[in-house]
Parts: sequence; structure tokens; C-alpha cells
Amino acid sequence: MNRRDFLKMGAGGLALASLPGWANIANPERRLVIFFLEGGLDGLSTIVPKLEGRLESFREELMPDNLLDLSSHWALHPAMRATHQLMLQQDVLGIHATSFPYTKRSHFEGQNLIQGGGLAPFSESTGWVGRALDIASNGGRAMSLDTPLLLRGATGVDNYFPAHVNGSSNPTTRLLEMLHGGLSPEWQTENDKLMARLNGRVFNSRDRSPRGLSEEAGKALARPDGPVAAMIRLGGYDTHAGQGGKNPGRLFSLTGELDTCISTLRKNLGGAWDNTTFITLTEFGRTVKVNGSSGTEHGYGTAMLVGGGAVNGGAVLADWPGLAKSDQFERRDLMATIDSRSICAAVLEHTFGLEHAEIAERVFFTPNLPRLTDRIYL
Amino acid sequence: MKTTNSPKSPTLNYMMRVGLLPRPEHEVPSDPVNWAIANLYRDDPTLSPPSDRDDPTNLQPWPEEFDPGIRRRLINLWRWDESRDSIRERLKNAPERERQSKLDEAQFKYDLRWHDAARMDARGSFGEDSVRQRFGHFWFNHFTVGNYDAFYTAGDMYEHRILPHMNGDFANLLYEATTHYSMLRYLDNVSNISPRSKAGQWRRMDGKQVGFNDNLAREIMELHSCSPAQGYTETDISEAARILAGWGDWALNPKNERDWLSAERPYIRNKAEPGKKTVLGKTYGSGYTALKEFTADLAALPQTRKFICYRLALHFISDEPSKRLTDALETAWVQSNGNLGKVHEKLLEIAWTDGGRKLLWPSHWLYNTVRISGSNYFMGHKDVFNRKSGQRAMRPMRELGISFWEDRQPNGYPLESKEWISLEHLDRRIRFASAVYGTGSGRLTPQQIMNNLGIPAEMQTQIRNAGSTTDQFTALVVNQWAMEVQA
Repeated sequence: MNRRDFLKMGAGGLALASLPGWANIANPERRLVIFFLEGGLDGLSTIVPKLEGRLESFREELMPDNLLDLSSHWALHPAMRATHQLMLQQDVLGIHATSFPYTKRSHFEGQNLIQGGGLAPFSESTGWVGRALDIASNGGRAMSLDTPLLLRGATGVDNYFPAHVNGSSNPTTRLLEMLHGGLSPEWQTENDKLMARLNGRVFNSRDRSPRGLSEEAGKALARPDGPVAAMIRLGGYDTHAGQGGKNPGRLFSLTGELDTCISTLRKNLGGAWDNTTFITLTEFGRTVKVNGSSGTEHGYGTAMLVGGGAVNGGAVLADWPGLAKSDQFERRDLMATIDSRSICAAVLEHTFGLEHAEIAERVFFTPNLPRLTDRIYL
Repeated sequence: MKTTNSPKSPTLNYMMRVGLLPRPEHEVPSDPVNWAIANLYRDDPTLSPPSDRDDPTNLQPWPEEFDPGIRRRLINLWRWDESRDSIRERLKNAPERERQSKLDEAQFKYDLRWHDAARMDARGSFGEDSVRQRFGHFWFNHFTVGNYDAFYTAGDMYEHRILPHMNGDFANLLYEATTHYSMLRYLDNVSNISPRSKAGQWRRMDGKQVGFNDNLAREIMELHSCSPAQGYTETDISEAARILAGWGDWALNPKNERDWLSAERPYIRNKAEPGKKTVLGKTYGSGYTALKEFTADLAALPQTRKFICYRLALHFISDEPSKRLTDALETAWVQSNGNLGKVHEKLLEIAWTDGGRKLLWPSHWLYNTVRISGSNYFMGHKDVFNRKSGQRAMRPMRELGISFWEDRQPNGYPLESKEWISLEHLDRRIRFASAVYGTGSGRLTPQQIMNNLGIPAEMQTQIRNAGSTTDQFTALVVNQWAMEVQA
């Protein structure tokens, strides 16, 4: 369909959140990684419901061959070999027919809502991970050129993204001290963090690909005094055209990249894998039916992955809504039957030792948010 | 020695808000508002030294061959496509490095992005039309085109759709931007094909999937005009997609004369949806004229006026623009029937007396840094012509996270100050300050710069005590004075 090579959209970015020295929480060694899949992941091609007979009739062209079987019901996209292995080792759990409570199919409202975790797009100036870190009295660190909304709210989020500026010299602590007074208060905070970084560990990597950032995140999180949370952005999931099916298309490259990121993270975490949970997030799913350009339009329900040594993996958690027209959301999208915020809440509960009720109330502003923690962790 | 912050003169602050700081050879206006309004309508050619090693006062016009028009750019795109396939085929067993080097060579021959990037930076460094540039950047960002194929033609969109139309009626700008190849390609409208059209039927006979593609239809409403506040439905979006079906094609084949007739406004009747369409309660007929009617109707919506005026105020005036200010812009819109020139003029008036704090986009900060240094930092057209150095033209803005020539999401770069504050952004400011001072040719000393800008005596003393001249320069540009517009 698209004759040209697919090139990823959007720069990847890594954001990390770390514990300050004074932090005092139950399990300071626990870590959280979020892979943010920008554009809207097609859940139906990523975790394929094999027994859903109607799928083929809606999107034969998008159905990949050589699916990686998980059970008699479910299979994984063929580009996700490493993740498949982790699932067979029961370290990764799939969640299907899930979404944040957002149905309007705008990327930018959706991304904002999913990072903000509020009740409406643009209602929050902080992110749900940031708020949870704040409640758990943790500071934060971000590793990207900007600081994503998701981590905002925690005090002291800083960021990391390797610089490539010809003819420039590295900032020094003397220079930063000198500049401090001339900066506005917001920038003075950043100046302090840059100073702390220069005084601490030096990042040596120059690799800005999502794989490189996953490596950096794994190494950083594995340190006992390392950050507690990381966010890595992967772009290009808005597969309106040339998504691919029998022939590898855009989704093949994308899920392959995600797969590499997951295996790279796993490898670089080493033993810290047992204390780490990763999740994937995306703003929405895509239409059940293929569109005119071998792609899919913005939809609603999608799939996510939750993984880590403590995760009760190897299966797909779903309350399958069916794909009959009348079972689809607005007769076009996969219905969402699991509120993704319940998954996020479980991860926050496990990682930061917060009570579910407090997370529901103060992080997601939804006191009756269902608790799914026991379904996700061992 | 530590620096502290100092206020700057109202005129420099205003120039920074709506334009760029002056180079040493530029005049500082005595009547800033009238200067800005006249500047908005300037039509300067791009002037810059031919190479980044040349004297910064040796200005020459940017060669016309680097702005060859949409047809030539589309031929380039076609040829690049063909040569890529042939190189892949021919060198399929060759080492990866050799193949990549041939591919780079071919791409360099056909891809004008390096020129477009260098040209924008040359204007930013040397142009006296800084107000026009700032509005141009705002609108080029509003109508973001950000993916691979769209890049080949994005420079054409900026030169021939954004700059010449951004002071006319919004309805017209919306139509011009929507119908440019870059936009049609970027938001997948090239794949928006009616199943009832001839092309649709042919494709079905070939066993291919056929149908509409909503991408452009959604974003034209959500991002470019009325915003979700309008409360349109999915049906409105799919009907809008039916109006848009037929606009655009993947690549125009230079061997096919019929395609050439439509390079400027690529409407392919064979892909269009026949019959009537209804969006937001209004019914449109078939054929290519429906889109112009549709964009005019979108432009006339009160929500469009509100959304655009708010965004303009957010970018130029304040992170929390008051209702009084946005009302003043909306009144100018209503009185002029949606003429952006009049809205921009009103904004320039308001900005003199009423602006709040704004952090500059990193690109505008870097242009200011180069301008006040009096140096020549970015590449000239001769540097870009050279393949070895040419591909570096896109690097500075990529590093600052604000390149117009890289992949990005359709909502463009954020307008809010807080989105640009981070540790890494601070690191980049410091690095670029040293890079401009270290590698820019023809620069002034920090003392000369401070004299030119009338920096207060106390701040001058602090900067003189900052250390080496490079550190002094860094202290001069990495501070609140140089990074922010004051209230």
C-alpha cells in the first residue's frame, strides 16, 4: 500500500522519576516503567483473539500470519518474539478490551487524559504517576527532552536525553552556579537538577532510539539509588494506512520495536526485573474494520501489556465483549470492558505501597474504581 | 560571581515578544507598534552569507533554484522513489554501508529539506522581517506537516501557502493549507478513496481494500479550525472525509501529463465520492468546489474564531490570556470578517501594553542569540549544497526539539511556556550558547553586545565577571533576560 519505507514518527523520549534521599516508603526497591505508544495501538492485531470468528470478516487484510500462540484463545503479533517468551515464562500479562474512559477519538485529548489521569482531557496539570509519587513522598526524574505530563506533580522530576551539539562544551558546576541567579525560579529548579546530575552519575550513552533509552532506563532503574519510575515514548501507532497483515507493514515495525524495548529493558534490569513492573499505555484502540488504505481509524477499546518478575503473567485478562456489530462500541470499535485505570492503580499499589482506596480517590478521582491488583500480581 | 536578573527596555521586550531581537546593523524602532505592523507585511527575500565561514555582513539572496515549486519537488520525490528502488535492487548483495552511502547520495540529490531548514534559519539569523517570520512560524506550526514524504514539499508549503496567505482571510489560508500536497500526504488524504469512485472500483477488482480515510477530515476540524468545542460527531467527520475524498495522490508521475495539471491542487476526480454530503447540518454537492465551501464554512464558525484567537494570544501574549484580550482579537476578527491581517494587527497593538510573561520557543531564543552576537552561525546555501555538510542543516533545531523538518504529531509544537522547561532544555541552551560563541564567525565581544543592547550597568559587571568570554556570552543569553518576554 504505502510503497515507501516506513519511518517512525515522533522522537522517542525517556523520562525517569527517582527517590530523594529522605524518601521513606515500604518497598524502595520497586520500579515502574511505562511505554507510551503514541497514536493509538491496534489492540486486535497486537493480541489477537483467535476464537473470534468475526475478526477475519472485518479485517482479513490486517490479519498477520505466523501468530505466536499463547493459548487456545489468544495469540501475540508475530513481531513480538521476545515478549512471547516472557509471556510463556509467565512474566508478562496481556489485558484486552481495555481503555481509559475516553471515547472521543482525538489523539491530543486522549494522550492528555491518559497521562493526566483526570476525569476530562486537559483537566489536570499533573500526571497520575506524578501524583502517586507525590503521595508516596517520592521525588522524580524524567529522561527526555521535555518532561511528560505523566510524571508531573512529583517534586524534582528531572529528565535525560543525550545531547549532540557540535562545537559545544559541557556545562560545568561552576558555570551553573554562576547562571543560577539570572534564571527565573522555574529554570532555577532545572539548574539545581542539572547540577545534581553533574555531581552524580554521568550518562554516557549517545543512543536516542527507544531501544537505547530502554537500555539506559534498565541500567538506571537497576541501581539501588536509581529512579523509581521511567516513561519511554514510542511514536507512530496511528496506522491509518499500510498497517500490514499477511505482509509486514507499519505495525510489524512498531510491535517489533516495542518487543526490542521490552527485551532490552529486561536484560538491563538484571535482578531488578523482579521488583519492576512495566506497562504499555496508548490513547485509544482502532476500528474493528479495515479502512480503504489497509489501515484503521481511531477507535476505543485496545490492548495493553503488563510485565515484570512479580506479575502473574502468561495469560490475557479480558472480559471479552464480542465483535458482533451490536457488541461494538458505536458499531465500529472494540468495546472496553476493563477500565485501564484499574490496571494503573494496581501497578501503583504494588510499586509504591499505596492503598487502592487512596489511589482511586486522590490519583484518579474515582472512588469506586474497581480493584484488580490480585488479578495482576502473584 | 553570580548573575542576577535585570529588566530590559520596553522596546527590546516588545521586539522579543512579536519578532526577534535586532542584529547590530539593524535599527531599533522608535515607534514599535507601527514598526511591527509594517514588518508583518514585509516581503523580503531571504538574505544570508553564502557560507557559515563568510563575513556576516556579506548578504546574498538565497538561490531561487532551492525553491523550485511544487512540480519540481514532486518530480524529485518520484525520482528519489525510483532511484531508491533501483539502488536497493542493484546493491542488494552489497555491504550495508555501501548501499546506505548510495542511498544517502541519491536522497541528497532530490531532497530539499536541508535547504528549507537552512533557509528558515538564515532568515531567523539575518532577516529584518522578524515579525512576519514569527507569525509565519505560528501558522506553519498550526498547520503542521510532519512526516517523511510530506517533508519534501513542506518548504514549498511554507513559502507559497503560509507566508503569502497568513495575513489574508482565514478561510483562504485554511483552504490553501488543506490543499497543499504536504498536508494531503501527511494526514493520509492521499489514501482517502471513495469505494463508489472509478479508482475505488478498479482497486476492488484488483482485490484491494477500498474506503475512506478520516485522518485529515478529523484534524481539519479538531486542530485547524473549530476544535472539539464545536461538538461535532463522528458522522460529521466521516461526511467531511467524503468531501475530502479525491484530494491528493501519493506521488505525481512526471510521465503522466494528466497528473501534472493538478500538481498545485491535486484533485483526482476518479477517487472522489459522488453525491451530496452533510457536515454540521450543511449540505454540500459533489466535485472539487465543495471543499472550498466547506473550509469557508468552518472558518466562519464562532468556535473557529475563538480557537484561533485563543491560540494566537497563547503564543504571543500570555500563558493565561485574559478574556478581555481574546475578546479584543475576536472583535477584530468579526469586524474584518475573519481577516487575519487585521487580527494580527490588533494583537501587535495589544502586545505593546498588555502582554504577560512568555518563554520564547527555543528556536526564537537561538535566533536572538545569533542575532545579538552579530555572528554567522547557521549554514548558508553553499554549505547546504555540499552533501557532507548539508545534512547537518537540520541538526540545531532537532537538538532543540523544535524542528519543522522532522516527524511529529499533527498538533504541532506546544504554545505553553511550561512545555519547554526542563533540565535537558537548560542543558541545550548552555551548549548552544557556547557553540554560537565558539563557532559563529564575525561575532562581537560580550562587552560590545552589552553596549549595543543597553544592558544595565549592574548586569554588565556581573557578566564581565563570569569568566572566559565564552562564559560571559553564556551568562548573557542563558538567563531570564534573554529567554523570556517580561510582563
